[in-house]
Amino acid sequence: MDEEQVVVFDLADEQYGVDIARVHEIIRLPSVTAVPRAPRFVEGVINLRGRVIPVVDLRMRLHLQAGERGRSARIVVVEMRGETIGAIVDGVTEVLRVPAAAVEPPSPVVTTVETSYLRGIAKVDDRLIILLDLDRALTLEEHDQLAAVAGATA
Amino acid sequence: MAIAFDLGPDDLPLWLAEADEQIRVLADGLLVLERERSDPAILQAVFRAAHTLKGSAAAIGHRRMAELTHALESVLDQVRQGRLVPAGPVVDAALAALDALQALKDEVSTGEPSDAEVEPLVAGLRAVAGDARERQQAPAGATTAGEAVASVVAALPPYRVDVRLQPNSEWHAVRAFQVLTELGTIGRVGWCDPPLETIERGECGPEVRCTLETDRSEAEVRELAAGVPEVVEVHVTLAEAARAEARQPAAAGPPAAVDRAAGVIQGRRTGRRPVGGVVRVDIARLDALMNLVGELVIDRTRLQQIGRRLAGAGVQHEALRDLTEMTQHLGRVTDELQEQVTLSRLIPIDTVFSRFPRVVRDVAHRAGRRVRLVIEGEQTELDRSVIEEIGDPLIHLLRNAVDHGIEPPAERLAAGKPAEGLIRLAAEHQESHIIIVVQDDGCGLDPARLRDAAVRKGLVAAEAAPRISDGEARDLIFLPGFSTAERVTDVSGRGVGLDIVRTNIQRLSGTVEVASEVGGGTSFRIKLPLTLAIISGLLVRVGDSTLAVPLNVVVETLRLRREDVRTVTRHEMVVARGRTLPLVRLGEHLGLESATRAGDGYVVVVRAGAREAGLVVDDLVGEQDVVIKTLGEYLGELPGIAGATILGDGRVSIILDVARILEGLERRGARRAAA
Repeated sequence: MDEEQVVVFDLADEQYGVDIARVHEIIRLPSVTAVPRAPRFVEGVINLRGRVIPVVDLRMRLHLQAGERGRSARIVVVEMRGETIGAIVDGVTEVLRVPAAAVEPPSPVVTTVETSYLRGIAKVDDRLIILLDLDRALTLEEHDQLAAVAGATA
Repeated sequence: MAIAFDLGPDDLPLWLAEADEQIRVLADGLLVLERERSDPAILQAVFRAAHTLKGSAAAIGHRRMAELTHALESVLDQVRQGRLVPAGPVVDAALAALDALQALKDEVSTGEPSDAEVEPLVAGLRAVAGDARERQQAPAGATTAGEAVASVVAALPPYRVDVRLQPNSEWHAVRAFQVLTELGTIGRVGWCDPPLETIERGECGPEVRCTLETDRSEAEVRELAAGVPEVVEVHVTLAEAARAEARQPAAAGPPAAVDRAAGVIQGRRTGRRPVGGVVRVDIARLDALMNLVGELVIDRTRLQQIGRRLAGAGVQHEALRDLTEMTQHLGRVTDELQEQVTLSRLIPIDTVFSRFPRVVRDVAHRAGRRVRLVIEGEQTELDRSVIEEIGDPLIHLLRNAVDHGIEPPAERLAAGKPAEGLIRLAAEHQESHIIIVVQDDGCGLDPARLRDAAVRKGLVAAEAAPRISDGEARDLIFLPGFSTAERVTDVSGRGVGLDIVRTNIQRLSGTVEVASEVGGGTSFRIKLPLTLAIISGLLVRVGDSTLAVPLNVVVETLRLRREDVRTVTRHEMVVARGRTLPLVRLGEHLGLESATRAGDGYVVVVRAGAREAGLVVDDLVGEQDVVIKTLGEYLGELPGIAGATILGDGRVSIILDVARILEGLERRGARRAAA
């Protein structure tokens, strides 16, 4: 039977899922060092067992409302194009099996997030899980374009 | 259109490495020959390299490469026999062929045809060689040098040479043949087992034995044979008993000149491949090892802190004493480990130096100068990361030395100097640094002319010029936009770039200084760390952030009092020891929270290139050796940020790229001035 396992996390009162194969680990929020001149949604860098990895504020990245960061906040550490990157989420809830049949294409009606970042919407029981396309959601290309524009006008 | 060669992917690296080596021997040797004219050992090495290269090319079916090498070999043969003088058109033709061989060799790795034109080069070489043959046809009678040497060699005692090859190699016959060829260059190979014909058919096991008649020492013979790849063991013994067997003529190889010990080139080559005990390690693995050592250093620091905290909390327990002792021991071990790993990443600077003789020769020819380049300390080792970056700045300095330093021959003779200028390129270790000196015996830097030029170019105000000391005047050459060249040449362009040289060297955490004497020459002294992975940093605090400033750019630190700050055209300045320095409030500049707006802080005076400024910080934390880590591809290159490091408490600290920050400052200033 066709199904995938996703790590489900909370972000601004919605539930999101990413393919478990892409998730390295989930850690508590350590002290984050701000990186001057990095894009705004990059919260900074952290020390992950001797490696310096960038951490992205996923709320800010997905243009969601900013909110209080509670005790349940976590960093989901993922692999992207050979690099390790952390994404800050409000909290991680569970690992879920999602049958392929339960996944529908993303629709702007259901979610507040830009649909190009999404792989689809999974309906599991009565819940809606928004499946993120990590490569698109974390990519810096948009930032690069903005920076290029800013540089040209400065 | 892609081209294919008769070579498997597994054999490719080996083939390329050996072709590179032969091309290098040829390039080095030709330049030495051009100068020294007749050095038999080098002649032999060069001829042999061409011969080997031809064989390698033919073996993989690279017809054009084999053809060109063959033509080159013929010319070198004429030179070896004394029928051609290695100068002028001969060397030019040979070097042109070598450039093409380089391109042809690259075809093997890329699989793409190059634009190397073989036919005209072959014709050129043939013309040169043909001239000699015609001229030399008539005179005869005297025995050739080769025959004379052969008769001397025959009287020498034979050695018995036993060579063991790597057992699992698939190239036994090739290696055996190489060993015999190498030995043939220093004497005569007599009997050998397996016989040469068998080896040539490709039938050979991992063991080769032969006798050798030569005047060289056992050690030299051993070193020569051991220099062949995949040779794992060499035994050389005096073999009186082997004399009888040796009567049976077998392997050949031209007898070599007897008057010299192993040639420069040959000696260097074998020197780098000592027998046994050497392992090739992927550089990525060494990088990973270096990272792990970095982590260990961090953990050690944390353990020390824990110990201090326990002691501070009044804990009195035997275990605490043990912990302190253990931490000290761990400290010594990690220091040693760090040093050893650093050392294992070092490679000889020869890998960059080796291309300079050709560069200098070409530049000198074009500029109409006569220049001799002397290289010293080419076996000095430093980190691969530094080696990769140091080539361009050095080429710049060498070109400058030829074009702006060394005078044209007539001018030199008039000044009572030899017509041929001398450039010395030397490397040596000094503690954890390497010093590279580029020195010429040219016209030197004239402080008066430098001052005039700086005023003319608007870099210095006319009334300020007389106050500039001679030393400061020489430093002016590092200013952006400064050039004393009266005209534009194609050699060193517009004379630009010394500012870039200094910036690049500072980016490597190094410094460059100039010393000069009018009429006596100029000397640049570059000081670089052995490795880029660890630097000394000054830790500073700005708001909640701890930042690291590379210590090599720090001039001094000062307390900042608000009353010392002046504002000049919206720029904050501070007067320190008579100099006026622009201030950079780091917090504001980097977009970090900072307290200095309200209260007093500190000024870290930094210098990068000719630019000096004061970085305003909240507090000074201290000096520390830090392990540089990159921020990774994801964040990419951020202006003003050189990387990050992990502090003793586990937090990440950002390392500043001061040169870049000061550059940005200047651009901003220029825009303001223009507005």
